[in-house]
Amino acid sequence: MSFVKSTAFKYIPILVFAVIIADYFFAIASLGSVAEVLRQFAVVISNIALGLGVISLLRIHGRNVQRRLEGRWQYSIVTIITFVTVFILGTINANGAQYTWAFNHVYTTLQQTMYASTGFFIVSSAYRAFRARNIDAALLLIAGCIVVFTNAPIGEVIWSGFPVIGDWLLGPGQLPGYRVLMLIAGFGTIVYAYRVITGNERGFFGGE
Amino acid sequence: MANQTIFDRLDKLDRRIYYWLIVIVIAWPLVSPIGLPITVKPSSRALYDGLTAVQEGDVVLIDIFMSVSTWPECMGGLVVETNTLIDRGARLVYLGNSVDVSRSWERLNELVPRLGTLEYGTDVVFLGYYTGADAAASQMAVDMSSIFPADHFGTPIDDLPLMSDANSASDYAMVLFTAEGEVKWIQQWGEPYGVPVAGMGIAMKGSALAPYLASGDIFGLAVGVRGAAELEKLAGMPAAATTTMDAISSTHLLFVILIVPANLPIIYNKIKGGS
Amino acid sequence: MAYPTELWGLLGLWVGAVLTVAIYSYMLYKENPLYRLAEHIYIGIAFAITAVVAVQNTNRIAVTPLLNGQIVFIIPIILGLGMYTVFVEDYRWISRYSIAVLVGCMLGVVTSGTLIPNIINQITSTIAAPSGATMMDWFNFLYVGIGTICALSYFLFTREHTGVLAPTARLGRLIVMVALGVMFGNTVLFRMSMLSGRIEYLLQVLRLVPM
Repeated sequence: MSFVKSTAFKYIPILVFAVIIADYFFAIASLGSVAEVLRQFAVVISNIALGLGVISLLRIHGRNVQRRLEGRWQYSIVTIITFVTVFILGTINANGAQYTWAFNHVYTTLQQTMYASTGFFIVSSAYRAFRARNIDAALLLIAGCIVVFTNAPIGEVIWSGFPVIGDWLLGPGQLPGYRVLMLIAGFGTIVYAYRVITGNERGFFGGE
Repeated sequence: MANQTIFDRLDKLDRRIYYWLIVIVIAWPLVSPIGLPITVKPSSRALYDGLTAVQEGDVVLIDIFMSVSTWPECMGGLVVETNTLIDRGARLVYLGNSVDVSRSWERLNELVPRLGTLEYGTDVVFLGYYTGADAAASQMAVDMSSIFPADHFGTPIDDLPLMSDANSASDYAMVLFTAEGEVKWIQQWGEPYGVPVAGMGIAMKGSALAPYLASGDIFGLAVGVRGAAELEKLAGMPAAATTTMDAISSTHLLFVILIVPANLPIIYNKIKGGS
Repeated sequence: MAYPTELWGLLGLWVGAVLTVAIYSYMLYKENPLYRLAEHIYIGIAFAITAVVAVQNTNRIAVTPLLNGQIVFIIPIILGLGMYTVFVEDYRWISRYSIAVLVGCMLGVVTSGTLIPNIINQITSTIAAPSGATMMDWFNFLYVGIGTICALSYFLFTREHTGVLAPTARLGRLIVMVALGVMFGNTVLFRMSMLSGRIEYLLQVLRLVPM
């Protein structure tokens, strides 16, 4: 039992990885069938795992209510009640008027609003944080400002050179930097895969 | 205190003043539009040219990855893509990797009423939400029905005539991504099966997608609300994205105006030989 | 989309506007109970919708096929449910099997997908000389080629940046700064367009701009 609890699972990523990679390189019908099944399994597992965040949320807010944490427990009740209400409505009838109303007017609005709130912070950072203290920062700032004026139609009105330089920056100008990042990410993926199949990478299993 | 320069005083200015300033600067051109001209970038033109080259009956897969939060950036471009493909007589398959994709689908139908005139199941299908990212895309390339045994509305995939013609990557003329998630289509459909890939990325992804555009892994790219406005101009249907560009102009101008005085003391000190 | 006239549509519109103002009251005024309330409503409803979609989707892609005779789907359903043992200390080891399958599969798919578009095509594109090219095309080719090599040398951390590596790494760093500056410019566009969308929504609710 100790083997099942502490060791057996370490071999599974290696086996699954080998099947998927072999299917990519070799056109073997039986291997392809196994790979298809494994990919379907991954999709179903990741779908069911969406609920993990929900459980964590309920635990955290449930704990806040249980401990009557000052200034927080009342809001945690709001979170839990909102969650339970909308979940029940959606599970009973996802096309129902009440669930649809909550989805369209509450969720959609709040999702867009929360995402957009970072627009304020980037404005204050413009004055407070973006300082060209050295040549590197100056280069970043100048490139950024040129692209800002390229993206905005007013840039061309101010100076006809902005779109010319900006289009170059948005094309070949930024290409070496991002190409290198992409190459590094690609090599990193292969190295990570090697570490996983040799058993040196176990962080995703959590504490053992 | 007596030695404080104007820049020091501006530095200590309550940030709420900046926030209210940005609200005013956004609202003003929305209420009173200016209508500055927009020039079209080659990558947006390449995307549009790809759309207009689609033949009647071609099946196009459209990934509405965008969450409702990226509607201002990408919905305009998706509307143009949909309208153009309908004009070309293409058959459309929509799906999405965001939990609120159904809301985006509803919004698309509000903005493109012609979608409702197409015969559902034959000319257009909405498959709905999927998880699994790359694994799902890889499996869809082989067998769509294994990831979508039914569409978003619960109709079995076998009952949808379009899906019997479009069950694997080789059946598709093109994949269009929206907002994000493009990498899986490039890696799992574009490269192994040669399916042309293009789309609209959020502005932040514009830089990350540039290498794919340069290497030919994607044939076209419209970036952010600017890209959407360019597509609207090419299609001759100015709409929400074009309207937003005036607000983009004013906010971007304010942004640069705020950066310049912040850096003047540094430049001044460097000229004077200080640190 | 026209301005709603029926009660629930109007109510939804104004509830949305109030929630938007509540969230932005934190930035435009100060932290206040209305902001905290809206924030917690958002958390609750976002997770609820995620849970609803997860249940619907699981039913569609696994449970229904299982009930229709595809017995093999019992395995991923059990593995998926096994993920939830991560919350129970004594049974946490069960979740490791689920994670193992997920990681192995995702890693295999991503690694195989990365090889050509992310590595080979990028290298090919860097070294392939332009054909029928103008002076600008050749300049771009040299800039991208030399820039990529220099930027790669900057990310070499197994050797100290001295000797011939010093100027190339320095140039590489500057080239990376240009790329990051471009991304910063695009980020400004992204954030401002999001915010413009919200301000436009409020103006539409107030009927200052057409819906």
